[in-house]
Amino acid sequence: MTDPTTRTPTGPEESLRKYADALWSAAIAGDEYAATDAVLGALDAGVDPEAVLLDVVGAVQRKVGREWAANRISVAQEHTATAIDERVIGAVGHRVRTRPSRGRIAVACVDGEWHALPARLLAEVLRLRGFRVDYLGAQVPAPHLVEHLHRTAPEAVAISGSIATRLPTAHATITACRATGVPVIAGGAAFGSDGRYARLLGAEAWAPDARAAADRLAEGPLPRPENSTQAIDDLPHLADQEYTMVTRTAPQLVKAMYTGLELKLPVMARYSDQQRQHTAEDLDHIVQFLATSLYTGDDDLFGHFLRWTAEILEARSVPAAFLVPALELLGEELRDFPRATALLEGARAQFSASLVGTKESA
Amino acid sequence: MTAGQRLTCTWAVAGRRTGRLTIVGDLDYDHADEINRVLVENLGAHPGLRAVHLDCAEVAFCDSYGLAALLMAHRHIRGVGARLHLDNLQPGLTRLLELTRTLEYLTAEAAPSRAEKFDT
Amino acid sequence: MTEPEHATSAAVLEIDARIDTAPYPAVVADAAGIVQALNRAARTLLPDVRVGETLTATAPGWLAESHATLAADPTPGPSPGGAAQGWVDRRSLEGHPVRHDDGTVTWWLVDDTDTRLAREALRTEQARTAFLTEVSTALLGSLNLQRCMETTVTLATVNLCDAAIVMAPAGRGGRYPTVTAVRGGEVVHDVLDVDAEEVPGLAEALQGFPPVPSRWLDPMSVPEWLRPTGFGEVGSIVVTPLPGHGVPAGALILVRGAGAAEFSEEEEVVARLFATRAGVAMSAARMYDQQASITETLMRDLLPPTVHQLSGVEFAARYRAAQDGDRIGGDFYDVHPASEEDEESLVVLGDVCGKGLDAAVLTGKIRSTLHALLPLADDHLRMLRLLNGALLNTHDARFATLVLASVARDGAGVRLRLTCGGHPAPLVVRADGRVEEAPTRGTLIGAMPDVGATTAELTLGPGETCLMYTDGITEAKGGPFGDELFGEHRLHRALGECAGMPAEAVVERVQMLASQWLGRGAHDDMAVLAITAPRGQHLTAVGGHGRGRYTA
Repeated sequence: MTDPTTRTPTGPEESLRKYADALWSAAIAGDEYAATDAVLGALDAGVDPEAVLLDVVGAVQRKVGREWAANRISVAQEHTATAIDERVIGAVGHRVRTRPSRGRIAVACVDGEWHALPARLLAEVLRLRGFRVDYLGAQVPAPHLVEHLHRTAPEAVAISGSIATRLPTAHATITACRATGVPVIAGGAAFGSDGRYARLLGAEAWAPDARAAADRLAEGPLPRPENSTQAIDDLPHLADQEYTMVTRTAPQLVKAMYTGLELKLPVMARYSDQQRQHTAEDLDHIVQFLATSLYTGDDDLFGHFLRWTAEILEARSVPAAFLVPALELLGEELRDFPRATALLEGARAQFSASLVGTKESA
Repeated sequence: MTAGQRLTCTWAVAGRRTGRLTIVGDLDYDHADEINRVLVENLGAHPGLRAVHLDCAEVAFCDSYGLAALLMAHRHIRGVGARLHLDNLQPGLTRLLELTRTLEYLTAEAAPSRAEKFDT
Repeated sequence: MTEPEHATSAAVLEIDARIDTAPYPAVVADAAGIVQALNRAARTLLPDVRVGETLTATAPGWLAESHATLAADPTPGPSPGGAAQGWVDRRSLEGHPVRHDDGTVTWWLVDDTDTRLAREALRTEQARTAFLTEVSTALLGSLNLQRCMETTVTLATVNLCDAAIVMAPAGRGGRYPTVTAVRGGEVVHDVLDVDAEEVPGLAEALQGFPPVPSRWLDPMSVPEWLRPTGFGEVGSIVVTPLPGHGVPAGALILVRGAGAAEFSEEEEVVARLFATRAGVAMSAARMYDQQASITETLMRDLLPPTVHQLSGVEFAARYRAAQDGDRIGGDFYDVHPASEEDEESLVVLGDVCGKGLDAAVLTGKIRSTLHALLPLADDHLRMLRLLNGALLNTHDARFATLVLASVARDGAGVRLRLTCGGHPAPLVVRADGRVEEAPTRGTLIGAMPDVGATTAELTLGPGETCLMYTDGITEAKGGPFGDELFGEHRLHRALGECAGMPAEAVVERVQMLASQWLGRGAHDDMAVLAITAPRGQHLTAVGGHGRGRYTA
């Protein structure tokens, strides 16, 4: 390494990757000490603390998601790595203290959202940038959040969500926050890769990641919410009640699909309890995503979900073929609902085509 | 969806000394108070009872609040000098009563009294 | 005509007797603006106007201008410019022109004073209603006092005045929180240490007693601290008390610059209505704040604590409150650390039956009683008996179920003594994924005169976990078919996948599965607490590659 001719160029990106790799190995092995060493080492080497959080810890966390989807790590490893990352974030916060010099921001997850880490990272980054941060954690019920906003009147509230089926809940939360006069910045995978659902549900701002969110908040105050809007104004199509009907009858829909599938797929008769439960859960996901698409009025959401599910199933060597008859069965059940019918038709046609495409290319 | 079924409690007397309360539905936070409302009303209207049977054949679900209601029922029934009998306990409820060690307590004999010896 | 000496034009001849006595004033002028004739009513209305004089010299400006415009317009037709409008003394007039072939124009003047006043009153009323509605909507949204004060001064400077100040009643140290806005500028917060008596009416307004009307101040005598910084010469300034609900809300001070008009009677009415709304909103916010801070103080001790690693043992806990209840429900847990490194820590997790304030009070009682009984933690049964005695009461059958765990590091492992009081037994996750129920049973606490219990003693090897939970987890109702309980069987199976995981990861996993199971369904409180023996640094196997949740 001392010989300049043999030295490989180590740019900042490469050194960040080196720390991220070290953290990844430690986190996946559940080795808290090695994990802490990796990030504190990065800090000692002069890496910007924000980069340590976002490009080392954040990178590891994104990799956890990818590796889980590809079935390359176990459930235990996934949760272990997340827990280790949480501790590591705590260690960074402990090491680097910033005196608050900016306004107050509340950071919370949508109720039912248990992926707390992205929100935690944002809270820490905002702290580093000098904001006063109230981090409320995962699964924050809207009444608790609203109570907090009344009490503290922050400059803005950052709402994090990764599960698309929580968008209706997110909408209620965003509306409630805005009604108190506090503007909302939304972020996380649930709001779409281009933030379209954040805008749709009335948030004042959207950010693709924690850095962008911090940049936006540092730029200046978000616009104050208009007082006169009501939740239904955002989504006039809800007047057809299809979302309500699908949500209310979801268990019956799942039962009907399950019974129908048993007739079509004789192999299901030999399923174990756990396989039955997984199948029922997959069917429930289909119904929940359909309902969410009806809520947002956005067909892509459902199509995207089907493609994603197919990938997940494929990674676990489960044939995705059952999705097509499942969609047909659901279409049968919902034939009186024009919006749902059109959505299912479109999705099924597109999805069948993509299945054929995969087989041909394989 | 999770608010539980409605709870219905039906009171009947068998002779002068025995009352029977048939419970149908969920004994939970939202409904369990109904047992004691019906019990208090009828215990007052029928002095001299020596035994009160709670028929639990159709108790679908019982949470800790439901158990508190049963303990309260026990107090009311003992208060008028009668003994509580839990009839047709289903496995779920039996498990809860065993877990909390309340089964024996709830159905223990009242202090023997002359009246009781002539019962049934 | 009655005055023949004026009859100089053909058009004059048209002013016949009928027109002369018409109730509406009429004026005839030629294209050059020279008056040709006027009837009796016009002579009364416009005494200066004479035949032969110009309109410009003798008639009201608006009429002369309209006439000139009309005369300059060569387009033929009866009245191309439409009606003219203007005032004569206190009367509003509409002039309707009739053009004649020879270029002369007859102006019929119609009095529309009443219509116009009514219309203007309506417009003012509508604007006032719109403003007050906007005020109410803006103020109703927030229950935060600072935010209400900001909204008040901002709206005031948009609609009523050039600068506005809200002073809240004196806080700690007798100083007044103040919010100031100058039109178009930033809202400024300040805390003023001043003598309110210096300004007539201000001290009363801030105390909310005795009632005082709005009061005009002499701009010259206003103390310096009341002048908004950067504001020029003060023209007019008024102090209005903000009425509250029994609590004083403060005072609103409206300022107009030297050049601006003084407040009209109408504007004063609006200002008073505005102050009423602002005052109500601010006192509601103040009351909410007082309530919330009382609740917060009371709850601080009732909320579950954050737990972490202690004396070489990992602890992690998660709590999710019921949505419909209050923030504090019936579930609770505590970790009482050992005073010495090798002594036992005591962990308690329990569930009080019921919800809301009653449950919270009982929870608090149990937690503080157990805290006091800590020196007796060697003997769990004795602790439970004493606790039972403290909780027995006659008026209801509320009870609690709980688990006591005494925890100490023992070499690489962790030694546990576990005792249940009517609570589901803790589950132990072994390194190989086996899940065992701790063999302890006992009576619920607080309802029966006697309690009994058996204590289980066991050891956790590195990476093994003991999980304590409340029935909110197992009784979570939902699942794909909507009506199933999560149940112990699913909890056992889920824990089987948690071998070797850190304590936080185990509680996160369990909470996640229960939340997924619930979907959007309502739920009770849910609490889980994990006690884990840390894995040595060299133990790297984390259960291997499981098949994940999709198995086929």
